[in-house]
Amino acid sequence: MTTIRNMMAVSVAAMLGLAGSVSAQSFPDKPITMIVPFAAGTSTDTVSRLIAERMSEDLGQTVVVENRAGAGGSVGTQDVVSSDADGYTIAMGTVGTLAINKSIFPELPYDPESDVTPIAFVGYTPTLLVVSAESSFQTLNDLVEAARSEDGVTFASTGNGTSTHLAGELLKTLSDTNMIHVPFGSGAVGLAAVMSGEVDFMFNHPVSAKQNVDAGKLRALGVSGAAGSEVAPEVPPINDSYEGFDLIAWWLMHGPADMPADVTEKLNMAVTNALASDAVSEHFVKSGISKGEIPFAELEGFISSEVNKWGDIANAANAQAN
Amino acid sequence: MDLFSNIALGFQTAFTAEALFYCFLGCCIGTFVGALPGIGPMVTISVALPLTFGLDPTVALIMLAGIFYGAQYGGSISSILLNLPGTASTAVTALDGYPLAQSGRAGFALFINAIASFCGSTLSIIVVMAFAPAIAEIALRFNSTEYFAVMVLGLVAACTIGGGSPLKSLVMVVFGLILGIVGMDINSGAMRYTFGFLELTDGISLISVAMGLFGVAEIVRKMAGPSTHASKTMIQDLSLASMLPNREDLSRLWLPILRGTSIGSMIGALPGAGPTVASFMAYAAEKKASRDPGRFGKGAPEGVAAPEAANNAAVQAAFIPTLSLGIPGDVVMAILLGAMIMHGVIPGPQFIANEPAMFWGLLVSFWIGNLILLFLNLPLIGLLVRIITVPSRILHPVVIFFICLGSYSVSNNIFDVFVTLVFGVLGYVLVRRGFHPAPVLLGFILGPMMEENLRRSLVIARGDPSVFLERPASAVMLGLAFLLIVMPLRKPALRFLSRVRR
Repeated sequence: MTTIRNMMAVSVAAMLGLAGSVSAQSFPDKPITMIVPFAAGTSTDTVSRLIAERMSEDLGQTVVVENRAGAGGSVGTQDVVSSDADGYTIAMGTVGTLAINKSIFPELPYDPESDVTPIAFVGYTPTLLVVSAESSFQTLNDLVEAARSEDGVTFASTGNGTSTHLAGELLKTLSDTNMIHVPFGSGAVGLAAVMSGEVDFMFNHPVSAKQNVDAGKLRALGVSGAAGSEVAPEVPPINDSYEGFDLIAWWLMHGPADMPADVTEKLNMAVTNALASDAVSEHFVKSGISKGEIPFAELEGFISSEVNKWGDIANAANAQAN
Repeated sequence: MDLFSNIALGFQTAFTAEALFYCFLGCCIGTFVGALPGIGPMVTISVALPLTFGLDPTVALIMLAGIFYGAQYGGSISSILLNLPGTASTAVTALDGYPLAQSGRAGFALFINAIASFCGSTLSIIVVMAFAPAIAEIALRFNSTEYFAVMVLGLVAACTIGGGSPLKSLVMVVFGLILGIVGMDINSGAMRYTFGFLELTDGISLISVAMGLFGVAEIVRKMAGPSTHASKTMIQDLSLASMLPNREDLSRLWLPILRGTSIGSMIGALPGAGPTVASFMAYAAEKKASRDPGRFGKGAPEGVAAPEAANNAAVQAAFIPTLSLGIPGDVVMAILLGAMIMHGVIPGPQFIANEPAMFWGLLVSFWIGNLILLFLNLPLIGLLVRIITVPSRILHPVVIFFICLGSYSVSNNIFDVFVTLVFGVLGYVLVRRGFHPAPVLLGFILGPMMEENLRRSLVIARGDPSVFLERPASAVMLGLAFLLIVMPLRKPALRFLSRVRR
């Protein structure tokens, strides 16, 4: 294992050396590859493809989207991090690949704080805490009260160490109650289990949950972001009752470390223009994604603060699990 | 809400020139990629997805769905002719389809495949049309406890698959279960048997296991065996009369087709189960139901008809939870759901009411698509059968090439190609030792699901195992599994009892 890691380190070093300083005057003079570290059809993939299309128009070169899924996005991200830092290989990063994975995968081969050049913040979405419409929990308080019993309440997630799991763990920690984690391989199956009442609650992406809320199959008791959700403005933020419950899922375009500043700037402009386009705006509204207003200079600090925030939650959860 | 006026609305949507053209296109692409070993509907749909951006959402979905069910038809072609399942859900078809083809009845096997597939899909579409919302409700009541019971039943039934020694089948099922453990445990986050490879975190790729054990192993076996220059088994009678099943065949096949369809529709509607599980279960059920189970694995037509009806029925039924709840049952459905969202359509409980033209148009297009596939496949049989006669020095490298391409394209990672080749070598060793790889595949698919659902039920029941017997559906299925195990002991037991009485 050590040999593999050493080999990786050597190859990363070699590639960084090769990258050197590439003239950015003519950038881009060939197609750009955007690695999406998740499967086709996922929300990250959808967002990436829409943005890649606008970026291609803007840059005059095709931005090719390539899906390279695996290990919660770590496989594809590692490929980008270890490629030439010339701007021709970039990635769509997420709260998972750039923050959570660091505390979840002990053998993560890259460090989101030092192996990455942030290009632009793309957008974010809070998640909804939903229960079945037939459930007796009418408010967040009902749920928390029930969780004080010995049997507690159960919550579904998309797997150990995912944002949906950690959100539940944070609520458990902040309310100091008994909330039992029930991992599901896919969020869709987990949502079905909540609908049927098999599991008590779940944190879910607002769009897939919202339709079922409107149809009277689910009830939303809270929203994870401090500012609420544009999709469901009537749902109260959990942060109002439990301060510190400010969790959002976000997307951030990035490349390998040490990208030339002028190349990064060009790419940043292209993403910014793409975000301003009608096609992307429309999709964001429909999907409940908000545009982020994080200035370029603050991106690195943002990644660090998110790494720490999720790391704390993960540590607290692990401490309780053992 | 009149069913007939809804169907009429569906025909209006699906019978436009544009919709028909893209339906045809989707079915053609589907058949083609389905027949190529390794390249399945999942990869194709993800590649085709961005190309449909410019289309009307309904038309785009008609085409993407066409690729999905078209691939089921195509996948069985390579299963039957070459013993190389084009998709995992058609692996079980090879068990009897390939021996049929080897005995000179390839045309007949392909004909049964086409007819069974068509019947399975059509009946399943009717079920979807009539009962979609009701079925979705029932599927929701299916908790992890019931899922676990179904998996146990499936695994017990699986030990009868593959013919030969049941002990060897059992060993292979267990081997599959072990392979299924590889990856990150979703309960604890512990890495199991990943040996430090990040690529193994999500487990071994299904495509790699299926293509390695079946595809690569089969080619290695052929190359290692004596060279057959157009041996007698290769010569096929291509007259139409030889392909058409006679009256006796038909009377023997309609029940397997019906049974396969019912199993397929039920399993397909459950989120998470899918066509592969359905085809295996249908095959096992057929073997159990048969008066002469010894024929299975040696070219029994029922062994082709039942699983083909089942996987096609399952593919159609899989649209129930996707369209009516917004819950995709498997990866391909998740991509289709993503496609809908990308086109601004959000499936869910209100989808049928909000977008009736799209819902009914899609269903009607499924049926039209299956009709197209039937008429596309039947005339092609004569041509397809000739694939067998392609010299192996050309055919084998081409097939290996496509298998590697297919393994790579799942997540664009070279690692998976090596995994496929490792499984190819392993598969060859197993076949040489008289172990059939089909039960491995089933153990590999069902194992992780069974473990997940077992642990999930226990967590939710706060650790009380009696939950499996308290819920009626689960108790019945576990009882059936128990019966399957003790049934073979029935005769010796009766003999013993009568002796005691005397």
